Amino acid sequence: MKKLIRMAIITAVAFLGYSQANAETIWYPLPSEAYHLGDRYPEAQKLLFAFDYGHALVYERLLLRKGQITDPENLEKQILQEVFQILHNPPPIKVDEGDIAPNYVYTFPLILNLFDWSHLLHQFVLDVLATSTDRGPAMKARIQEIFNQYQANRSIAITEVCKSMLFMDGQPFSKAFRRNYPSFNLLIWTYHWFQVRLYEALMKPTQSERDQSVATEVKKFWELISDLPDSADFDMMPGMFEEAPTFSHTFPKIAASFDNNHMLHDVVSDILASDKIKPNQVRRTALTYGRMMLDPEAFKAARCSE
Amino acid sequence: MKVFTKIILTVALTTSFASTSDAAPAVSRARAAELALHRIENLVILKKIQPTHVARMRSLSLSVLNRKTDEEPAFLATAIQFPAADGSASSIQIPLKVDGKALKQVETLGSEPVSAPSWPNVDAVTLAENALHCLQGEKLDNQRPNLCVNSEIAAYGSEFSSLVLTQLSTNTGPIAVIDIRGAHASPVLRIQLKADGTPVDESPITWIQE
Repeated sequence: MKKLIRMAIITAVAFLGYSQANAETIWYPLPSEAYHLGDRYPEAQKLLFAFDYGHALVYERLLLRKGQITDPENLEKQILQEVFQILHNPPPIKVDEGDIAPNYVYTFPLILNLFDWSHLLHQFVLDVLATSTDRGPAMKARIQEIFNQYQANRSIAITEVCKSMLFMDGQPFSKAFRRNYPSFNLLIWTYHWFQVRLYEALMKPTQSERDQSVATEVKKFWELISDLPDSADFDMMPGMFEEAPTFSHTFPKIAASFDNNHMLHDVVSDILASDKIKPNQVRRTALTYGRMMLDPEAFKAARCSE
Repeated sequence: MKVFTKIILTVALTTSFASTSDAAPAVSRARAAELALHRIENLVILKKIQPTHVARMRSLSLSVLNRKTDEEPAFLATAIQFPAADGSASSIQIPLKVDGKALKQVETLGSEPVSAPSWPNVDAVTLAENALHCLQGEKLDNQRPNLCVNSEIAAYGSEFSSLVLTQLSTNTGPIAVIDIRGAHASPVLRIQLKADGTPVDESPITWIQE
């Protein structure tokens, strides 16, 4: 009997160890195309690094002051100032969130892993799109290969099944961020818009069209954030299927997974901004919604496009 | 010669369809109505219109407009609040393009309403949005099977004409009763939601003969 119990314990420990190792956000081996987007499109690549930095920064600020914010308008101005400095002087490499947002990293462990893993997928898909000379079957197969590797890490892979808007807008805490921090919300939606439009630009058939389209989207990004909130005319979060139809029809599962990632960013912002979630409820709430992002059935949409 | 004629005819038909601007809009009526509500919310958030448009909305109607080009409005959404004693009611009109993009709004301010229900959890516009999601086949909550995947409900999505939102007091608190009319659908589709926006436990979707 003792032997049996010992074996059960060893099996359980081994299983836990395996699960943990499997949940690591380490992509090994790195794709040969990794981080080559920046070779051809340095400004776009640096903006993507700056977005990650900006997201982590706002989450950390909101978390540290949760429940004590009396003047959200003023706080929004302060954070926007900080973030615009980052956008104008973006980091040349991806910044580790632990260095700039330690409390956020501690409070949102699952969601952070989901974001990190998904951001690697974003990056590597863009790298393949930027480095492939044609838009044919070889490139599509390579992107599929990368997506398969992403999905294999099931414990931290955001589902590729589309979620309905109810997931993002139908929770007790929903819409708190956009109502309290409208300019910052539009800045984040413009980040999402830029990421989405970058996929579409890189689907253009010729190299010169791709170069021109990326330059156009970068220019449009700066225009959209030039005079917030009026300059960014979004009533809803920009979606993949509307803003990047070519990419989304070619890679519908990847598009859905990116939309879900963007929705989860809004959910995190709302959890942090809402008075309905008390500071001591944040970690638990974040875990609940993080798990929903792994569950294909949670808030499953009837279809993806609307 | 026959082949040549066929080619000419095909080209002529394709060209004529491509240049027809009154083709079916790219979004359904229910989607256009939902996008109008998102615009109203956004305008309130940005303090460009009165906040009562979100808190006190009573009805939303949608008309399909004749247009010559895709740059002209394809829909006109009108959201009206509860009426005042003098009969006036604040309203907002949102024209939308064929793809659902909202254009410049027109706000009309009425006197203070005699009585308007106060919604304790989510506001009137969000309750109406949830009902419009259902017309597009989306679930009303995450708990039960999707009650909204149904061809009869879908007909109200493609033929959406108006909705009226009222509050009903029950033992468990106020509920939202949303009566939806379609341009060609005869009974009224009634969706009942709890104050938090989730469906009521018993018969959340019913049809009412007028």
